[in-house]
Amino acid sequence: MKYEEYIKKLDVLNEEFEEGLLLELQEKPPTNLHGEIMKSINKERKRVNFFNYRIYAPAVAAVLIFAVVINRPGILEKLNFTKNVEIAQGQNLTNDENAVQKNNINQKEVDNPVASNETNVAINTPETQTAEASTPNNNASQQKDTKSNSNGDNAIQPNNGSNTKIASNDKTNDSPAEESISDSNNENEEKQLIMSNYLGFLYFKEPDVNYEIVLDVNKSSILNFITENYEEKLNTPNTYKLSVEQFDSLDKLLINNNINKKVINEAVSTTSKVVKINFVNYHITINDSQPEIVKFFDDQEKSVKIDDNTYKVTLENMSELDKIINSSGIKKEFISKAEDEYIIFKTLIVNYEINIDASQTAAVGLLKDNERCVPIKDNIYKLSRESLNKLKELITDPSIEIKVLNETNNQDIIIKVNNI
Amino acid sequence: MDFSWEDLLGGRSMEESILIEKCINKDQNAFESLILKYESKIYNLCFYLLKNKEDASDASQEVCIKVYKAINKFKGDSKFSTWIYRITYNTCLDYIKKRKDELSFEEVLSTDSSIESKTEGIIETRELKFELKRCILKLNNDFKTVIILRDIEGLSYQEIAVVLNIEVGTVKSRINRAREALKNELIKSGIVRG
Repeated sequence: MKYEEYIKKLDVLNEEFEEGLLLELQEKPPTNLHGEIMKSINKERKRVNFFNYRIYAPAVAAVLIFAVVINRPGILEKLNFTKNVEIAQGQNLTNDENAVQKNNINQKEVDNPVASNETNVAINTPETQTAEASTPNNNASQQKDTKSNSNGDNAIQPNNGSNTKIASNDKTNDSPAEESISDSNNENEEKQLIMSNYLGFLYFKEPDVNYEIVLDVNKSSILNFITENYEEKLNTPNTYKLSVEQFDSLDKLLINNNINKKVINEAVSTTSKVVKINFVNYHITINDSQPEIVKFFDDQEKSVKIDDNTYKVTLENMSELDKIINSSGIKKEFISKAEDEYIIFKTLIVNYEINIDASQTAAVGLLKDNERCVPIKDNIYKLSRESLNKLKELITDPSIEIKVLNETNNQDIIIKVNNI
Repeated sequence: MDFSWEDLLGGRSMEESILIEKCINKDQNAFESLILKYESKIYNLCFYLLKNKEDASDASQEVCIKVYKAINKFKGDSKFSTWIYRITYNTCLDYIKKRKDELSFEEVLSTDSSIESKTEGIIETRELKFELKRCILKLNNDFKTVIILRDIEGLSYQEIAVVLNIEVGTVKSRINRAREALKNELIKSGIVRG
């Protein structure tokens, strides 16, 4: 033992210590630490991806929509038709913006002679255009040289709400051409929305989980098997894609370890299977003094049974369960940190209790037979009903009775043995 | 003159350098392999500094996320292990600052399942180990850190100096004082004669 040497050397402090003498004092990490770390890393990666998605997805969506729209037959013609540009400008094009607002005069530059209505009359000329004021309180017509219109601000200035800019949804205009602008814009917006949603969907779509298993702290062999043999690790925490061959081997391992797999979705792919692992978060041992807890776990509205003695409790119901646990004076044993919106409890419900002494050699022999009587925790064993009956037969002292704490119909029962 | 790969790569093995390179390129599997190699070291330092298994697990996760985020900033000026220890040490200090009520070492030891074995044959050795662990946990953070890094993790003086960002001379004197303090604790618990 190197640390014994270390302690001896501490007596004579001047002596040279070689490094790492206390290596044996290294604290072993919990078996699920690696899984927990990878879970957090995946979460972090997902978060970063989501952040990137938030930044780039709208731009990508816009480009895609543009590409789709441009490539659709007839769209170019439609776009040409809707090319009408409304220009809000003042009486004098060299005037500043205030002049436009003050005089409330609207002029319209029209490329397409079809786009006209009763109030907005526009005549297309190559160099100049004549436009009548669109508002009833100003009927002065104006003639302007379009070439001299170098004032960009005027071109985009909204004018008292009576005119609309291109790409606006304002439907106050009566012009059929302008309506078509609005309609096509609405259509574009809808498409953009649908496309964004579709992109989001594509971005986050995960393959369907075929099976779910629950792993307890002592089932690291299964976790190791999965982490060593998976084909692909998916973005959803603790979700792995395995080839059919590896899945078959996993299945055998699960059967050998008495672990049930829950079928979520029958296999879609014939070449691979997706398995999600749920880790037990807490252990809790229940005996006869905690009937409320048994009742809580039996209540299907409050908890969901996912395996023998394993229950899923949503965070909403946790406060109630915690109250019951605290009032019962028992402790929930922390196993791993919950990552999802529910907590998984592995309950150990003690069904029977027996006080027995060494004089009952045959019965004690049965209890010490680890194949028939599997030790679970201190003085707590699992045995089959058949072995329980055998135990009853082997007890020769009639004063020794097997006390029923929580009756069950399960084939395997849990018994607490005192004074063995 | 002979050069080993480790000399050329700042104390890192060729394999580790490839892994780091892959990690920088966001290779998830490479990162997993790298973490697998260091998680026990990270956890160990976290456990001794935080004196609590749950916090040690949480802090280890936080350290790994920090490493994941910052691995592209690793320049290779120091050993990769030293860089990780430095992140771990700083994360633990932050945890200690955040945590208002520190656990007593009795609480820590009461939750330590590794010392609960009742097998009679090894009970004496376990008790000695237990006492030694208990005495280390009783030391102040500065002393505890140097004992962990030097005597448990086996780092050189130079590496400890990099992790703690202090001079090598300071490391040596601090280790001596830490061992003296540890000896006093062992005397108090009757393991070493005064």
